[in-house]
Amino acid sequence: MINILKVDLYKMFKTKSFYVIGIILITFSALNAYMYARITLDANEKIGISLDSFNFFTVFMQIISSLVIYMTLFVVLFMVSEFSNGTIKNIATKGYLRESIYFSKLIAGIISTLIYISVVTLAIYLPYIFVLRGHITNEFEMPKYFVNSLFIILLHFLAYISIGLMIASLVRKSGISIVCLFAFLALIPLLLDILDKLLGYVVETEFRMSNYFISTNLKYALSYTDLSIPDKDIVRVILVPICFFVASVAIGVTAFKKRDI
Amino acid sequence: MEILNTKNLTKTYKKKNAVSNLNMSINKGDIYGFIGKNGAGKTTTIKMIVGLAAPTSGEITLFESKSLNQGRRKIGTVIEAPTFVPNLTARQNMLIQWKLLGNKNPAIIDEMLNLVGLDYVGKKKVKNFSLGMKQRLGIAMTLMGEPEFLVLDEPTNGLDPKGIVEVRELLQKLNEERGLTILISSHILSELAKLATRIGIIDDGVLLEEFSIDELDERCKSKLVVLVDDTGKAKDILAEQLNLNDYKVIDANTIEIYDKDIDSGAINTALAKNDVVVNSISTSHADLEEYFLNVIKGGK
Repeated sequence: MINILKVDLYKMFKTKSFYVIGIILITFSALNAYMYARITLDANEKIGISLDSFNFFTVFMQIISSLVIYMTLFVVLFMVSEFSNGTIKNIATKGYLRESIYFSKLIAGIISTLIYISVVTLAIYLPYIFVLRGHITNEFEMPKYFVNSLFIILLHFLAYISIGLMIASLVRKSGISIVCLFAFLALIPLLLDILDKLLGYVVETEFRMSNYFISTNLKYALSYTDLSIPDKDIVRVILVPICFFVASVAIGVTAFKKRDI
Repeated sequence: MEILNTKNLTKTYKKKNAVSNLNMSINKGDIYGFIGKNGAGKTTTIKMIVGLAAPTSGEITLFESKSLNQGRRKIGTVIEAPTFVPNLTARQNMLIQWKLLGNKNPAIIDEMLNLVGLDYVGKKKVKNFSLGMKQRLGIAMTLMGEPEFLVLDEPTNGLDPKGIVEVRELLQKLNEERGLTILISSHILSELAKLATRIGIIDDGVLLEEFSIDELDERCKSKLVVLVDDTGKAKDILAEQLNLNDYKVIDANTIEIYDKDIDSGAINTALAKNDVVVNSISTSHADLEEYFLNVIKGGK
């Protein structure tokens, strides 16, 4: 598998879409960070709101979470390109197990996401520090829940990447894969919401199916601006991305193994 | 050594057999020409051998072992068309193959590019290559792992006559100098006849015949084609007066005679004496294409 991973990483760094998506992420993050920082400064200067209200780490979490879909998009495009170019045949005929090929793509996807997160962190940090220079007090003080919350966010990223890879290996065409990805992440929560409302009319219950979907779960985790998720929900918030990750890997690997190339 | 053996290999798609109970064997050093019309099952068979498709039933043995993943590492393949990352150069694509195979010797990249005549391409991206260049790069990539068995699905597609000859000569050289075993499917039967040492004919997923190139000569035997005005009268004369029994009446005016050591003069004289008008007598020798068409027709 090491050989396949070396090849995947080589191809990844030679792929235009890796850099195009990177530029989009950097631009989006930098502009958002600039806006947040400006709002922070204006709020402080004009209304007198404390700069402590807009902690860098909170802003970082908000921005980075909104970018997960673009990072997933790269993983989808990368996997689909192997099928559209036919280069998947070059790997699949070399006696490697199909699982090894799949897991190599997953690891390459994780590495690309970590690279994106690193550059985006810089793209958020630099405008923030530039705008707030001379005014900084506690904006860069790490909240005590940050590491836990970062762990939860990264679990969600892992699940998203795995879902993207699963869709790409099932569909094998770029346009339809992208549509399926967006439909999966946007349409299903809507349907679940409708079902929850219907269920609410029939049975009086606090149970919500939509709470157990990956995108709603992530939104919920981020809704706590001080990054402190209530203890009663922490297990669900952690288990949902793990279950989505495991299920999508299982489906993706099985489909990839069984289908002809 | 038997490089490839298949036993009752079958592939079914939606209740239709694309390949049915195929029994094929290829020995070390063979150049096996695999021929069949479009949709006959050649590519499906090849895909099962190299691991792109799973058989519905049947067995494949590679290098006398059922451990197919090990065997497939010794195979170089070009299936349907050579595949590359189009935005990269030839060297970069070769480097990808080199990394994939875990090769230790980077000099093999230049060696292979030289071998197929692509050492001059420099930084030109593969997407800008001609079809012939792509085919040659595809062959170079299959040779990267120093395979013992080459599986080529129509490697001369799209090549000009010069290119076709070059590929044939390259494959012959690899077979003679390196002892490479080759399975090659092609529609250009005349080329295959010059290259292959064994032939397999497949139609509707069934392997109809398998024979060596020497046996082909025997099967495509010479015949005498006699055009007359009355085949009914002519065949009686051939049988009774000339003792010729290996013949076939093709139509109302044509008889093909397959007996050995035929004297065309004696035939002409005998027929003329019995008032049969002989319009022409000529010798014909079937080639692989004609033989293939006859087998396919007979296979129905």
